[in-house]
Amino acid sequence: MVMPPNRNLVDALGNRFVPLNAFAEDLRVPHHYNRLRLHKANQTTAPVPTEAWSHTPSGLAAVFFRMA
Amino acid sequence: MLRDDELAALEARVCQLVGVKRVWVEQTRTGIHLNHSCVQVVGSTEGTVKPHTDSLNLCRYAAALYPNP
Repeated sequence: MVMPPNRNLVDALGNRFVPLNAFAEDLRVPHHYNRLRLHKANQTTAPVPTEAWSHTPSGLAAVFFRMA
Repeated sequence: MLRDDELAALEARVCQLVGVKRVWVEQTRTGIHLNHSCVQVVGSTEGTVKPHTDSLNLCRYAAALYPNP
């Protein structure tokens, strides 16, 4: 999680992405049809490749970004 | 991808869930904003996993809706 005064990973680490081996997974949210996954923007997130990715042509996600 | 009324209903629900009065799409002074209500197509050969955060300059909340089984 990116904490103040940093606004993003570039501020915090000098890089837009966290290396995969530096990322500790603490919560996995399964992909479910019509499920909305909502998170705070400063939380580190990443999709987890699944077996389905190699069989179907698309794993679809509609993404939203909102200020509050 | 979502109609305006669908998006409004979704945003209203998000406001209830996180306890804010409204949410909006933020823009930079030059008019740049994060794409929203667009579909990302992800395949196993199309990229690698890249853990990341979204910029607090442009959003407080991010969401993904999965439109396929």
